[in-house]
Amino acid sequence: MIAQDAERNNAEWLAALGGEGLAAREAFRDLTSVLRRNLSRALGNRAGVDETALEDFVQEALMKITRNLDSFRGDSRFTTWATAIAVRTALTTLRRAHWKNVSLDEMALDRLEHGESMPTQEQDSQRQEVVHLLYKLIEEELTPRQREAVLGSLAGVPQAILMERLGLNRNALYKLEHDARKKLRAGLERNGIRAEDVRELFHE
Amino acid sequence: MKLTPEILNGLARSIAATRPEEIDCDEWLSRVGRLLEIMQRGEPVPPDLAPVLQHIELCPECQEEFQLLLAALNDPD
Repeated sequence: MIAQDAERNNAEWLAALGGEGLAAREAFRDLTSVLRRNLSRALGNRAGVDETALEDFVQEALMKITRNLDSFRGDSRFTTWATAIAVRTALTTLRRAHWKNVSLDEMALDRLEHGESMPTQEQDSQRQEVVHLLYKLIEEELTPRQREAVLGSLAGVPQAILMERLGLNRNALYKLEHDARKKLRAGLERNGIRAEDVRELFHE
Repeated sequence: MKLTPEILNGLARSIAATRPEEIDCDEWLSRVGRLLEIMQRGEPVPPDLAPVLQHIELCPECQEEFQLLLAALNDPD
C-alpha cells in the first residue's frame, strides 16, 4: 500500500506551493512533514543520519522542489516526485561526505594498471580473452576523460565528485560515460563478441 | 587504476546493457515516480517506461535511489 498524501491533488499542491499566504505556508508545512517521514523511512537506519541531518536534507530538498515546480510532469503523485528529489538530495550529500577524504589523483582513474589485478585465476579462456580485449579497448579507444568517467563510476566514485573533477553537469557526465560504453560495446562486437556473450560470461 | 574482478564484472554488465539511446539521470528522476506507483500497485510496467527500468540497471546511483524510494513510499500501516 502506498503512503497517502496530505489530502491535496497535484494541481492543489502546485497552486499552493507556487502561491503566497496561508495556503502556501500550510502546503510547505505539510510537504515538510511528508518529506521528513519518507526520508526517515529511507535513511533512518543509516549511520550518521540523525534528526538534524534529516531536517537539513528536507530543507535543501524543499528549495530544489520549489525551484523546479515547472519540471513536474504530473504523471505521478506530486509527493512521489518530491520524495524522489529529496532522496537524491540526501544521497548526494551523504556520498560527498563519504568520499571527501579520498584522493582521485591517487586512484588514477584515467589510466589502467596491469599486473596483479588481472583476474589470472580465471580458468575460462573466453572470459580471459574478453578481459584482455577490454583492457586494450579502454586504453586505445577511450579518451582520458571517458576513462575517468567509466572507471570512476565502476569504482563507486559519486557522480557529484566526478562532475566537479571533470567540470560537467550530471547529464553531460552521463553522456560522456554512455559514449564510452558504446565505444567499448562496438569494439567488442568488431572482435566478434556480442553483448549477450559478455552478459553470459560475466554473469554472477 | 587496477581493474579488479568486481570492477570487470560491473563493466561487462554495463556494456551488455548499453543501448544506443538511453535516458540520463535527470530524465530518470522526472519519470521514476510513475514507475514506482505502477509497481506498488502491482500493475505491469508499460513499454514506455522500459528506459526507466534500463537506467536502473546501468546507473548504480539511481539504482540505490530507487531502492530507497521503494522503502520510503511503502506504507507499513
